[in-house]
Amino acid sequence: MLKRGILWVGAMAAVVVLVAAPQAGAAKYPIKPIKVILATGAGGSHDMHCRAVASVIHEYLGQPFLCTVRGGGGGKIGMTALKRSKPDGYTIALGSNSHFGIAPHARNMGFDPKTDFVPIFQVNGSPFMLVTKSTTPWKTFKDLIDDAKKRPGKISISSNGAWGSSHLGIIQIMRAAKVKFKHVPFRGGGKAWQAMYGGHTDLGWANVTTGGTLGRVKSGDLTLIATASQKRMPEFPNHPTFYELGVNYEYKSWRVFMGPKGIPQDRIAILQAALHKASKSKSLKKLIKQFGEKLSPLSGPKLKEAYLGQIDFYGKVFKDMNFKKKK
Amino acid sequence: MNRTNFIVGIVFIIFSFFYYFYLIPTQIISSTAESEFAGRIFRPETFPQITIAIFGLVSVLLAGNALRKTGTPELMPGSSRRSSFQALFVFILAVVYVYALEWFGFHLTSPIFLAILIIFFGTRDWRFVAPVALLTPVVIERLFWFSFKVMLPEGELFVGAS
Amino acid sequence: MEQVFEAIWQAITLQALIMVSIGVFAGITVGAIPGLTSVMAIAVLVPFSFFMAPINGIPFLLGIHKGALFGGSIPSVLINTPGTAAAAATSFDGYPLAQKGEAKSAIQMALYASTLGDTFSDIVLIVAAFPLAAVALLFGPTEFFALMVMGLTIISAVTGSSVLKGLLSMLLGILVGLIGQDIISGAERFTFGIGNIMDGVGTVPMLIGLFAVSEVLVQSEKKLSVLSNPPETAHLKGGRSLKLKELVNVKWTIMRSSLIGTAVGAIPGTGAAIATFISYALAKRGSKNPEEFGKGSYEGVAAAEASNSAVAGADLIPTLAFGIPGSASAAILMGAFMAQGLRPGPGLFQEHAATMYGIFTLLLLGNPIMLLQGKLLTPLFARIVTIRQSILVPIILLFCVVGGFIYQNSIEDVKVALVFGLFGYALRKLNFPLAPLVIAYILTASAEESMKQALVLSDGNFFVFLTRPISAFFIFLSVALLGLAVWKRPWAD
Repeated sequence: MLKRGILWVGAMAAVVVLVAAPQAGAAKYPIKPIKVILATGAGGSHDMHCRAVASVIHEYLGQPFLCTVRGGGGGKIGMTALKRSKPDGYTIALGSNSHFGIAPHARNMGFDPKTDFVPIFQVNGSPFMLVTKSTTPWKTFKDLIDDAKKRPGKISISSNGAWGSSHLGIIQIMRAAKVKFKHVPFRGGGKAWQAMYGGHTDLGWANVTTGGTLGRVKSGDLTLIATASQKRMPEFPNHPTFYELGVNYEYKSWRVFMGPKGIPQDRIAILQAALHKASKSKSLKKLIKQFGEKLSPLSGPKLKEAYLGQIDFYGKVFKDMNFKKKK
Repeated sequence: MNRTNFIVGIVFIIFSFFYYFYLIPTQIISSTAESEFAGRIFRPETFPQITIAIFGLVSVLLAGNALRKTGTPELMPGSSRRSSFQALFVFILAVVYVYALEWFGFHLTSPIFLAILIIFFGTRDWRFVAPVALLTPVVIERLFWFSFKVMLPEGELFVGAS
Repeated sequence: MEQVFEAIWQAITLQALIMVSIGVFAGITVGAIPGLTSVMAIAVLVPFSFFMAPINGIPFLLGIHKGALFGGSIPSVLINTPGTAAAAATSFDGYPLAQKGEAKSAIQMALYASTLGDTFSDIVLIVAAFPLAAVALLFGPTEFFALMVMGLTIISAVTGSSVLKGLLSMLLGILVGLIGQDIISGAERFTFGIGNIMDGVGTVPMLIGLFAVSEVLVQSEKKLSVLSNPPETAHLKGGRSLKLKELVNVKWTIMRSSLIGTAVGAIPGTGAAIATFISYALAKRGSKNPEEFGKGSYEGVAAAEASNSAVAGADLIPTLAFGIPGSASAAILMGAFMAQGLRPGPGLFQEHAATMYGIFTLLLLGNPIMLLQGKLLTPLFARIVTIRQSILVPIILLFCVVGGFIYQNSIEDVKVALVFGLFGYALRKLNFPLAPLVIAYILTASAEESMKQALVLSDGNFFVFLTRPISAFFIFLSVALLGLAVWKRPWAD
C-alpha cells in the first residue's frame, strides 16, 4: 500500500515537472545550450579542445557548450548529422580537416563541405610532422631520400589509415622525390605513432601533442625530418617544411567550429564574438598551453578563404594521383 | 535425425553461398581499382571469403552430423505457439517504439511503451502500472541529463521553438 | 624518502578523499548501466578537473575509471548484459549464479576480485611503470596478432557442449567483426550504406542487443503467471553473502588473473576485453573444477573481474610513461593530466614527484573506498532480482533503448541493438553459444589489421610470426592450449 502511495506521489510530481518545463520564448539567442558535435570520437585532441573551450565559454556566451561525441565512419556520422541539423545556431561541430578537407575526396561522405557547411571560428591547428626515432640513421630529409633510393620499398612509414591525412603525405613524398616507401596503415594516429616509437616501423607522423612529440624532439629522443606546415613552425625554426623540400604537402590537425549552412548571420556573429572573447581568457590560454599548443583565433572572410583553400588543395592532390572515387 | 540442427545447417549453407557470391562482390566498396599492396592476402575480400568458406564447411558438418544422429531432437525446450508469440510481440513493440521515439520524443512514447508491456506481461493493476510507467522515464531522463547532459530524443514533430 | 612521505601525507585530505569517493560512486553507477561507458563519463566530467587542484581532480577521474570496471559486472550478473566488453566474461558465470538465487554473493565476488586486481595493478604502476612500458613497446603488429590468436583460442574454453555450434558462433562473430572499414585498403565492407556501422557495428549496441535484448525476448516467452508474480527466488532477497572461505579458495585465480590483466593491460591497444578472455581461459584450464565454468563458477567470476579491473591501473602505464594511451578512457585521462601540466614521459616523476605520489596514494585508497561502497550498494543491486519480471523486463528494455541511444547520440544504434537482439534470441533458441561470437567479434578487426600490418612489414613472409620471439611464444602457447582443449574433449553435439 505504502509503496503504491509513494509511486503515485512520485508520478504526480513527475508530471508536474514535465509540464512546468521551461517553454522556449522569444528571448535572445542563445537561450539553451549549444550542442557541439565531435565527429572525431572520444579522447582525441579535438575532444580535449572542445572541452577546454566548453569549460570557459559559459561566461562569454551565457550558455554552455555540450560536447557531444559522434564519431565513426571517418567523420561521416558526425558531419552528416551536422548537415542534417537545424541551422538555428544550436548545433555546431568542432570540425577536423581530415573529415571535411580530405575524406570527401576519398569517398562519398554524404556531404559537400563547400556547400553544406560554414566555418565559424578557428581555434588552432597543429601541423603534422614526419618523425623518426633518433636511433635511425636519417637525420635530414636528404638522408632519408638517398637511402630510399638505394633500398626502394624497404623503409616503412606508418600512417593513420588508407587514404587518410598521413597516407597522403607519404604519397606526395614518393611522387616528388620519386622513391618508394613501405606504407603501413594503422587504425588512427595514436597506434601509428606507437608503432614508430616501438621501432616496428621506421618513420611516423605526429603533431606536437601526439605521444609528447614536442618534448621528444627537443630532447633528442625523436628526429624531426620535416613539417607539413605552410611556414616553418615557431617551435622548430631550424626544420624545413615539406614545401621547402619540394613536396607539395601540408596538413594540420585543424580545429574549426563549423555549422550547417543556413545559420542566421547574426547568430554566427554572436558565437564568433563569444569565442574571440573566450580565446583571450587566461584560463583557456593556460589550458591549451598545457596541451602543448597555442590558440590562433580566426573568423570571417579570412577563415572562409582558408577553409575553401584546404578543400581545394586536397582535391588537387587526389586528382593528381588519378584517384578514382567509388560511389 | 536432429531436425533442428539439420535445418539450421542447410540454412547456413545457403547463406554461405549468398554471402560468397552476392554479398562479397556487392558490399565491398573500394575506392580505387588497384590497391597499393600486392598480394591476395591484402585484398579486402580475402578474409571474408576465407571465413565464409570455413563457415560453409562447418555448416555441412553440422547438417551431416544432424542427419546421423538418432534419438529425440532437442528442440528448444518449452517452446510453444504462445511463447513465441509473446516474444515476437515484445520485439515488434520495441521496433514500433524506436520509430515512435524519433517522431514523438522520449517523454511521450516511453510511458505508453512501458505501460503496454507491463500490462501485457500480466500486471494489470493500473494503480501500480501507471505510476511506474510515468515515473521511470522521467527519473531516467533527469538522471542522464543531470549527470551527462545527454539529451534524449525530442521528437521531430516537437523540435520547434528556437 | 622523506619527501615521499610528506607528499603522501599532504595528499590525504578530506576533500581529496571525498572527490575520490564521488568518482568511484559515479563510476560504479555508470558501469552498472548498460549503454553508459566510463569513456563517456570521464569525458563529460574532465572539464571539472581542469580547474581543480590536480590532487583532487585527477583521483576523481581515476575513481570513475576504477568504479566503472567493477560496476560493469553488476548488469552482467543481474541481467546477463555486460556493461562493457570487459565485463562480458563475468556474465558467463555471474548470470547463472544469479539465476540460482546467488546474485549477491556473485556481485560480492566480483567486488572483491575487482578490488584486489585493481590494487595489484596500481602497485605495479607505481613501482614498475617505466620498465613495464618499455616492454610493452616491444609489441608491434606481429606480436599483437599473436596475442589475438591466443585470445581466440579461449573460445575453445567456452563453446559449451557442441563444438560445431561453437565454431559456427565464432565464425559468425568474425563475420560481424568484418563489418566496417578495412583500414588497410580503405574499402568499406558490408556497411550497406548505413553510416553508423562504417566503423563497425558498435560494441556497446551490439552487446546490449545480443545479450540484454535477447534476454528480454527469452524472458518474454514465460507464462504470464510466472512473469506477473514475484520470482521464486525472491525470498532469498537477492542471495546470501559471500563466505570468506570461498574467497580464499580462489586466491590463486585472482592472483593469476591480476597478473595477466596487468601485463596485457599495459600493452597499449589491447583492451580490457582480451585481458579478461585470456585470464578466463587460463583460469578454466588451471582449475580443479573446470566443468563448473560457464554454469556458475565463482572462480570464473573472480578470474574475469580481477583481470578486467587490473587493466584499470595497467592502462595508465603506457599512458603516463610514454604518453601513449592504452584506451579511449586513458586518452581522456591523459588529456586531464596534461591540462594540469603533468606531461607524460620520463620527466613526469622527476618534475612532479610530490603531485604524482599524492595521486598514486589516492589511487590506492580508491580501492578500499570502492570496496566499502560496493559492500553497501551490492545488497541494493542484488535486490533487483526480486522484482517481478513483468515490471523488471519492460524497464530493462527501456534501458536497452536509452543505453543504445546514449552511446553515440544516435537512434540508429538502437536499431542495431534491436537487430542483434533478434539475432541473439534466435541463436539462443537454437542452442548456439553466444560467448564465441562476442569474443570473435571483439578480436577480429584488430587481428586482421595486425596480421596484414605484420605481413607488409615482413614483405609477405608468413614465418615472421614464428621468428620473432614474443610472437612465437604466444603462438606456441595458443597451439598448446588449443591442442589440450581438442584432446580432452569429444566432438559431441
